[in-house]
Amino acid sequence: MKIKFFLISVVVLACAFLVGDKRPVAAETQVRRIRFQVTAIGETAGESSVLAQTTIEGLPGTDFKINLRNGSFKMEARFLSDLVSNDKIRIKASLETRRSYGYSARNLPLYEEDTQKHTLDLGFDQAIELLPFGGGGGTDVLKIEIVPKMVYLPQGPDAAKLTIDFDKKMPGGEISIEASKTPHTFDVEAVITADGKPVAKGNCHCFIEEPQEMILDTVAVGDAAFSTRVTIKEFIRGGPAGMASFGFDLDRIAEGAHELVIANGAGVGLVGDSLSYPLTEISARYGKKYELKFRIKLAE
Amino acid sequence: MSCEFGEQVSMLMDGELPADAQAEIRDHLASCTECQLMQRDFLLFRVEIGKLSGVAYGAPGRQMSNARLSFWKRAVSVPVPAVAAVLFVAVVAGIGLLRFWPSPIERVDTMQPTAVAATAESKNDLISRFDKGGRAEIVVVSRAEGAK
Repeated sequence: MKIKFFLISVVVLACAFLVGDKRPVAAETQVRRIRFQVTAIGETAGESSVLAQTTIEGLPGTDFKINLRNGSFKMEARFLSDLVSNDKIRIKASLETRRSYGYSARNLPLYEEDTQKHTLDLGFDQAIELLPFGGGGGTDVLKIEIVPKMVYLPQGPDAAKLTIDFDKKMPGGEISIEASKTPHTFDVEAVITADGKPVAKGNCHCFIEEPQEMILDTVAVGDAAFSTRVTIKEFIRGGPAGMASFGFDLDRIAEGAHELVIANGAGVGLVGDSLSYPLTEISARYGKKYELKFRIKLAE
Repeated sequence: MSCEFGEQVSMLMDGELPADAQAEIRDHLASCTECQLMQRDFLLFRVEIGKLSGVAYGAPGRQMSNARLSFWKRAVSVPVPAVAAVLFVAVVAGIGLLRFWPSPIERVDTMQPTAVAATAESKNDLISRFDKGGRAEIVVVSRAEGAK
């Protein structure tokens, strides 16, 4: 009986292992990486041919850019990727295209410009299809396929490396690909001080290029709350921890009404350091020296 | 001028008299000194005019004068209705050309992006043929639908 129970237990455990987790046990000690295979395919009258192929591989959060250029058309497609769960990647795609349209009466060049932003949740059994010229090209369609794959590498110096392999290049260099790994998420703290003492503060978690609303709750009796809308525009390498450029608006909230204090504010600061903005207008109005202080840190 | 045939001498010079009247005036010219002087003055005047403009006065004179003039100085007489008709046709044609000649702005409006795409520079690349002027699209597909 004991042997039978032992054998059944072994079988059940083995099944649980095989069904419950697709990763090998060794993956626990391995580093997860994401591989993107980018393939440019030309379809003509149902016939497909691979024009170019590139493989990008790096840690989760690897970004890449696909540039396409020919005589009259230019496309810059940026992809920010984040691993949101074990089986899903969130891709923030930004497409910018510019097509030469001709010349004006004054012989100046005319262009058609287009900007699109898309947020795509992508499983590892899915792919992104980018059609630079759209899908209405009749029998001729150019398609750029982006296929993600989770891969594992043993921990070590190579595990964090970002690699790009150009498996097949276009002879004229019409398609080029760049990849980078930069932080995408930031923690932002904002404090309003009056004569050096905090009167309102708040914090938020920001994703790069996404505006984030933050309420600065009052911490001093008799002072108003504030709200700010912060956008981390770019992470810039430099300094000990890098720099962040950001933009913001600031409202003062009094009795439920919002009063605009700063519109289209902006700054660039070292990550982790504090940046101060004197609020001269409300300082003059309320007889105190008001300041807004921002501190931006990389999210954990 | 006191001779009553003076005007008819002038008409004779211009070839405007009928044949019987011409004979009568010629008979008179043979005997009237005043009309002879007037005829001589007419002839001199005609020669001077011909020198200035290259056009001889009067039909017979004109033929002779044109034959003597160089090609660039020769002239032809054209009936007024014909000149008017030619001018009318020219004006109508000019208005038509101005109206239907494509202006630079119209050229821009009717220009097709694909025509621009097919520049000499882009003929050599591999992707220009896919550009039919469409807007970029991006979609998520399952791998079964996609290539892999």
